[in-house]
Amino acid sequence: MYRKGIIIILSVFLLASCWDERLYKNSSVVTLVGVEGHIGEYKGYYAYPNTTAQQNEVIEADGISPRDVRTKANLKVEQTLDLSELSTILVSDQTVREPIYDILDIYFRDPQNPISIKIAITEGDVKPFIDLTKDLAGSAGGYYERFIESTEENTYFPKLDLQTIGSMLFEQTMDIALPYIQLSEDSKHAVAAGLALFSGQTFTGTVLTPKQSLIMLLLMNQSSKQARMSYMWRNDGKDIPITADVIHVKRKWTVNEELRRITMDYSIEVEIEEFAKNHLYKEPILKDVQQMIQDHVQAEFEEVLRILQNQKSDTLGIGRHIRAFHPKMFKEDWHAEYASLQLVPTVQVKIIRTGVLR
Amino acid sequence: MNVSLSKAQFFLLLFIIQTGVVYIAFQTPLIINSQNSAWLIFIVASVIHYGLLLLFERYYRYFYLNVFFRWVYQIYWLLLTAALIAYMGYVLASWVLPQTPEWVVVVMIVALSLYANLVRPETVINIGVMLIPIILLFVIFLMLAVPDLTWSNLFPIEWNNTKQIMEGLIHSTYAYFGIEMYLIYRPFLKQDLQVKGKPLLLYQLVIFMFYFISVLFTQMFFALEEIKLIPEPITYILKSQEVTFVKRLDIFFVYIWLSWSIVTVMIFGLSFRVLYLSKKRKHPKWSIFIYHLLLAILPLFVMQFQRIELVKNSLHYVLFVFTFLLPLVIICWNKWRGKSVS
Repeated sequence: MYRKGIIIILSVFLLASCWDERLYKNSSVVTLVGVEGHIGEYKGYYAYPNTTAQQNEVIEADGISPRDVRTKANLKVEQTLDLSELSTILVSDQTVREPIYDILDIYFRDPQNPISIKIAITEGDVKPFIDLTKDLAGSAGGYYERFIESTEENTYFPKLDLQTIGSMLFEQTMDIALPYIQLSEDSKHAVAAGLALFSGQTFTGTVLTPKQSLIMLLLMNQSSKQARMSYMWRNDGKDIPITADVIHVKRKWTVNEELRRITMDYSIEVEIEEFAKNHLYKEPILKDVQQMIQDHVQAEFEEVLRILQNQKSDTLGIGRHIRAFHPKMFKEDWHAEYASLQLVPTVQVKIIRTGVLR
Repeated sequence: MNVSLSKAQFFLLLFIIQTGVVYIAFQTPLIINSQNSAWLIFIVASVIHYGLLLLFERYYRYFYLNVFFRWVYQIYWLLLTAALIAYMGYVLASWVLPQTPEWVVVVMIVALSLYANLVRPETVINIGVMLIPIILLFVIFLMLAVPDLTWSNLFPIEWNNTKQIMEGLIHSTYAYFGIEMYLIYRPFLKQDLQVKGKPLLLYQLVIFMFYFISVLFTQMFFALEEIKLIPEPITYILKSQEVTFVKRLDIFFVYIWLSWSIVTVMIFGLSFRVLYLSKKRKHPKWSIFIYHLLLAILPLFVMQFQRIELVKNSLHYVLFVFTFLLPLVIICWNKWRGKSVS
């Protein structure tokens, strides 16, 4: 008899999760968040789908902190905002002049917030970027998520999510570079403008162009599905465009602790995707084209490394490498040390494929 | 109590008690205290643990507990289990059930343990079998994090910092707490079964690999400064993984961990029962009921951030005494006096 009693009592306790029941039909499911301003004066934008109107609603609010902004935004909606389906956060470039973690803390702290989401920095105010999603039939956050992911596949943005960014924010040995987006001239869609360089937790103010971003990702050995580089080959007084897609990157860093010099050897194998002149099977043409690409990439590597050092932005994770394998050379104030290192890149480019034409 | 254990039952019992509750959290204090060298120090701690197992296997007969030490261990297990339940409740409140009253969670856990301990002891002994596949799922899903791991986080290794090594070793006790249960349950093993040698080594290798993977993954996934802020790193790693079939993988695994931890609580209850009922009692069920009543009340006083932190920051010293030191002292004392378990 007492067994039955215990089973009945236990069954009652199986209802425990009733207290924590959350139904989507009672929430405004936010997919895109925009943040601008600074501590004490934040402004937030929350985009959520309006299923009856087949478009996205945007709620604005002010507050002293990101959490306070959300609390205030809840005062303006008929159903509480729910961020469990959030897919992208947009932050104004002025806001990240102060430590970015200030606005991200709530996403790491609250288990209901997903951390495998995308984050991007906007040129100027966030509002126009949020507004352009209003007329989309699909999710507002999904639009930016797809936009960032496709740019990642073209090796212009690194493959990052909130969690990987969080990890890098907490160590001095590697800095983040976040997607930087601007509006098109007609303000109807977003344009990938490159990568915003960070030094520690703050934005340096420098943005790498898309081409420089691709070069930086090659330096990081993070080429994605496509990594295309286009150059002009001058032959017999004529300019002929040539496009190469990176197939493999191999890198080897050699550290000289005494000279504080790092020799960065890269071997890049490419496939030719565009070359109207053809005849790459002729060795002099192949060698000449190969050398031309190599010279360009070498110059671009040197240029990007110079920018990164000038901005004290160790996005390549040189600090991680030094701390792990040359701890005597590692200094606590890594950014200052990093800027004074001698970085010597050497690139070797090899054409390994020419498409289905020779 | 008349129980006879097979080798599989014995090692499963040990495995559940040694891994339950702490598996999602012990990595944080270990890495905070031993920094990049944590994984290497954990290997050393595991070798020490294996040495202790060999020692216990050789001298388990001398682990005779008199009335005083029986009560010492019963009270220790009661308080330890209360602390574990408080932590389970706290984790549940933080991760999945913020609105559910804490007492409901505690009563639910304790009621299950009470039921399991009022029926035949074989129920508690065998219930761990159902956990084997879901515990394996834990490790399999951790593998999703492999692309996010930074292997250079494992270096540099500082092998000349004695304080760091000692702190690392003592915090490793979280992983191997409950080893005293080897001495409690070893006499119940069927007489003709061979434990020393290959079975013991195999057990050590399984538990070591299970923990070692979690230490490596935690170290490679989080930066050293970041790990200071993450009390349950394994759950956090699972939370950061995106899968198509469930939005939050962490919730799924918090419940797996909960069921695993409840079995640990049940085994502690069984251990109390084993010691308490080693003498004939008039009302054995009442004592089990009172033990569980206390378990339902005591955790409610601990389930706050600061108290949980206090317990976490000091429990390893308590574990060190009751898991390692006291058993060794009792064994040495009884060996000297020539007194052994019949």
